[in-house]
Amino acid sequence: MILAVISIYVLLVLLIGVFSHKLFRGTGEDYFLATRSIGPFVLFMSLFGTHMTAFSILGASGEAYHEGIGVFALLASSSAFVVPLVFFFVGTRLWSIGKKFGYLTQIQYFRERWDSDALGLLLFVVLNLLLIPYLLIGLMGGGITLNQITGGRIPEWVGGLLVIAVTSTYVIYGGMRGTAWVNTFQTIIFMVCGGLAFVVISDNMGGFQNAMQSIALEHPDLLIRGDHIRPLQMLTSMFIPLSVGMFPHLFNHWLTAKRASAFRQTLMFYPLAIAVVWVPSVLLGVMGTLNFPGLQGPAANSILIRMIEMHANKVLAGILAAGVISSVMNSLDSQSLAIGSMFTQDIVRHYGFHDRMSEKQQVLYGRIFVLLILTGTYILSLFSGRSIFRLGIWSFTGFAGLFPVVVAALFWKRSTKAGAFACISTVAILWLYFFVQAGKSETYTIGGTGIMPVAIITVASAVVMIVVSLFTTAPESPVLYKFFPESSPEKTGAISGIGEGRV
Amino acid sequence: MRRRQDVRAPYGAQASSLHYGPRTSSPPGGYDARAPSTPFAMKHLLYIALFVLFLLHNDLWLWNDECLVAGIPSGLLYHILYCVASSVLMIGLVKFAWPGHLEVESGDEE
Repeated sequence: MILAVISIYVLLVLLIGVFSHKLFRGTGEDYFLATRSIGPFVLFMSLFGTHMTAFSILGASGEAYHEGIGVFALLASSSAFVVPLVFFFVGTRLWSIGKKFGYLTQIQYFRERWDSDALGLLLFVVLNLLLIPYLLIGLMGGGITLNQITGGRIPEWVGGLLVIAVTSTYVIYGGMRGTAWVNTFQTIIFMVCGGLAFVVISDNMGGFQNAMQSIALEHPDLLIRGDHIRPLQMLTSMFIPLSVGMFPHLFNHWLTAKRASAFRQTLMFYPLAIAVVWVPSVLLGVMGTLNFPGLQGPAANSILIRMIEMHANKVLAGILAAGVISSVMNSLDSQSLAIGSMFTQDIVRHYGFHDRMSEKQQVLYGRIFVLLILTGTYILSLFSGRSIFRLGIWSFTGFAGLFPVVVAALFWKRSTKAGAFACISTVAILWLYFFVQAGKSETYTIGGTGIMPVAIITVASAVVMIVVSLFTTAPESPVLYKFFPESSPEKTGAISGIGEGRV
Repeated sequence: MRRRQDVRAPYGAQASSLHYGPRTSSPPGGYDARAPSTPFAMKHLLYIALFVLFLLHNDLWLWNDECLVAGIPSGLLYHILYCVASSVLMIGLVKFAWPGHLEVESGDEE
């Protein structure tokens, strides 16, 4: 019965993808950005759905199982504060620039902003490498969910493969429009299912308040932050959500907006939506300690599914599992599309291969590249014994470390390509260093102080960007005037008669 | 420093593309953050609120509070309310500090 429900859900997802293809206009802009036609509701749902991954559903509950309610403060409320601000100050501006100059990827913008092909190439490599752990948690989440909910009848490797197959099908067929529509459907499903799972499981455990009283008696440390989280960890956790400013898949979704005002609803309701998704995940993870005590390390990744399987009837369990799979596919699809988009636009088209191949061939090579990345990630997922939460954190750390790049590009005219190079290289070196160190100690703070590596990496990359930019030649005027037209002589002269081209 | 009023009247037509010109209709959303009646202080008040909210994320005083409110741990309830406060702040920013010029820059003014 559970499998039948999940199959119906998968069929619905594929149908939406297929239906969206009917509106396909046959252009690259339509395939990758739905011709920048997405309105406020779909924009909100697709942005939110893309941002919420297996990390927020399975990772959060697994981490809360070990560390308690502090996980919410550490990553959910910090995201509720920071993410909409990044959308407000960065996302809307990138949308405007993307629309004005017809960009399809963020690399196109950075390459022209600093007039450097090599910078674009470096970013292509770094962004794709950082996406791999992010893709990995999606595949692991899909495998774990299907394996657990079917009592082990579907092995994890089959689950991961199924998620790849379904996602690739509607991404390849429906492009961004299909992805945005499916994301909207899936976001509704997993938001409703999260609430439903919480109500059903709490009820089955004798009521929410009773369950919490039991935890207060058996595991009181999980209801406070205590020694699980350090104050400096809370402070530096604010750096992690900065990662949204550099996610290639969110950049693509920003560009789909019909107009800037389409962002308004997203900005206003995003913090509430985060609470709606994370509160049930965290609480169910904590409540899981009552039913499944003693899970060690990554075994807690599946706590939510175990709870669903134990407390819900078969039909409901199928629906709830579909909700979890929704959150997994929601991000995997956009990430795949972003990878395909970067390869087609930033490698095939930019380096002139498009002269030697037809539009169809370009798209074909883009799809092959996506499948190669997904296959590599899939193989990695078969051997990865890491916690979904930890993998997600490391991916976010890298993207957050690159945040100064987008801030400098948008707001600092004096920033130079040498500064951008040094900034990205600093992130790559420090990220590798801290990742290897963390592998030895299995913690995500520096020397047990509570300071997260993301804070050090982001601050260091910002400092390097500033110092190197100031010590290298200022960018040329034509490039500056393109992106900061208010500083061009005609514009400043037209208003005040005085050249005010601040650089 | 340039005074906005000085610029607006004499260069109406030209300045329109530079977002300083007089508007004949309301911008998207119906509120013009750059209009003369804009509560300039409100915008800055919101930026101060933003900083205060950033500080308030570190609720050290509830760190070891074991109190349950309707079953919800106080440390969690505080951060749920923090999400609500973040939403209110965003409503304020959207209403009073919206970057209306972006629609113009991207050639999509309504």
